[in-house]
Amino acid sequence: MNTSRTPINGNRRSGYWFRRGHRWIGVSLLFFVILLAVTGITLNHGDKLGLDRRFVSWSWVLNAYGIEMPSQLTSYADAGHRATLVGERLFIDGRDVDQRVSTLAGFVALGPMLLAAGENAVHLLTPGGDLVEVIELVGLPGPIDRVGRIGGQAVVQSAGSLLRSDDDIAVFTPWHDVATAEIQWSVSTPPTASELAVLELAYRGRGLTVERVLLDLHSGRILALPGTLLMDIVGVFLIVLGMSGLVISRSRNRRENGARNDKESGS
Amino acid sequence: MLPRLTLLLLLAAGPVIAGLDGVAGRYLETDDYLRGAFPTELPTAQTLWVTGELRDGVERMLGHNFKSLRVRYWHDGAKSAWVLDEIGKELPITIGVTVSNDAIDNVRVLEFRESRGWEVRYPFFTDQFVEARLGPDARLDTRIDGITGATLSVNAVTRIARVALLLHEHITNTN
Repeated sequence: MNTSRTPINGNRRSGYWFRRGHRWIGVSLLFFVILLAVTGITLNHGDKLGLDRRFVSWSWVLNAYGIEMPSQLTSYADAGHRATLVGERLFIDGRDVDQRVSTLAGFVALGPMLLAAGENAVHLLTPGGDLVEVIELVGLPGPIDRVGRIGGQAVVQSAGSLLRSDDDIAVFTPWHDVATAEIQWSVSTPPTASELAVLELAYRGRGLTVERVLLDLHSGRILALPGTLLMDIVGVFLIVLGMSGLVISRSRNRRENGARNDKESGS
Repeated sequence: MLPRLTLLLLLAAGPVIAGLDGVAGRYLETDDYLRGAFPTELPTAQTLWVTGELRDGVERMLGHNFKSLRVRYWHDGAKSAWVLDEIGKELPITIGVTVSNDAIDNVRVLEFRESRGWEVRYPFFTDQFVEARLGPDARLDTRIDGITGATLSVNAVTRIARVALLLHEHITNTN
């Protein structure tokens, strides 16, 4: 009598703990399932939501990501405007003008246009920061050393050679008949403290996209390696949860079928 | 079973590995492209202000704001050449388009900066644009077949081809 009862009690006890474990895993994972689902669905529609074009401005998040403005800046001022290169981003009067340049060789204001010189191209902008044109200076003997102006025309110096623009700043041609004393060369000057504060806000404000934060939340990377490992564990437990759910469902079906068969045979 | 699985994994990883190799880059200098478009004599560069109705038309074709206020072109007789930038996914693709008698003469990808979609540089894709014209609805009158995995780049090149035709039409009508 006893020998037939023990395994039944054992099975019941293990089944009880199995279901209890399944329930606890489910409850514990609820937060992560919601997090994964919400971030996953949002990321799936990231293009339409413009997540890669929206930027995080919360200071503590930017600090957590270590997004700081580089201490090394190149900056020029002319006619009340200032061009500053921060990293590889060009700022005009503290506004990111969406131009990527590796070096800033000079900056001059030419009537209604502003000219910022990169390594081998000049970027023409309006005073409002809108791009007029990027003029690639083909055939320069080297990178642009400096820029200046003479009258309303721009002058570019590269490895000792000079190029001068036309009045529309559309075409640059070699200039040999040079009166260098008349050229007003652009000279680098450091931004003031208030200009720096504006730059820092503009630089950091466009340093971290919402998409990046969501991706890091989804993968757990927001908490570095521990976060990634945590999400790995969550993934494993989700698999366990699915499998245990399947086992419980099958055993319940079997039990219900058994009870139904017993009832039918009894009747 | 294992060798088959290994082969399958290698095939699947192929495009990823190719992408990481950095096939993106500068394929053709602007000067070389223009000398190919105008082999006898390179005309002087001219500029066109993209404003008013022209700007509206360009932005309708692009589906977003046109970044520059002024574009540069080279024009001789019925032929014009344009070097324009358009974003594929995140970075600009520099594309050269030569238009002759209101039809595309050639399309070349001069520089590709992203890690995926660089296949648009190959002639099997760019040759599809030859002889394409603007249809009545401002679309190309030729069907352009896409490239799997390079949809955004394909769309960018197609948009720029349409814009170049529109700009060519504008300077032809103005002249």
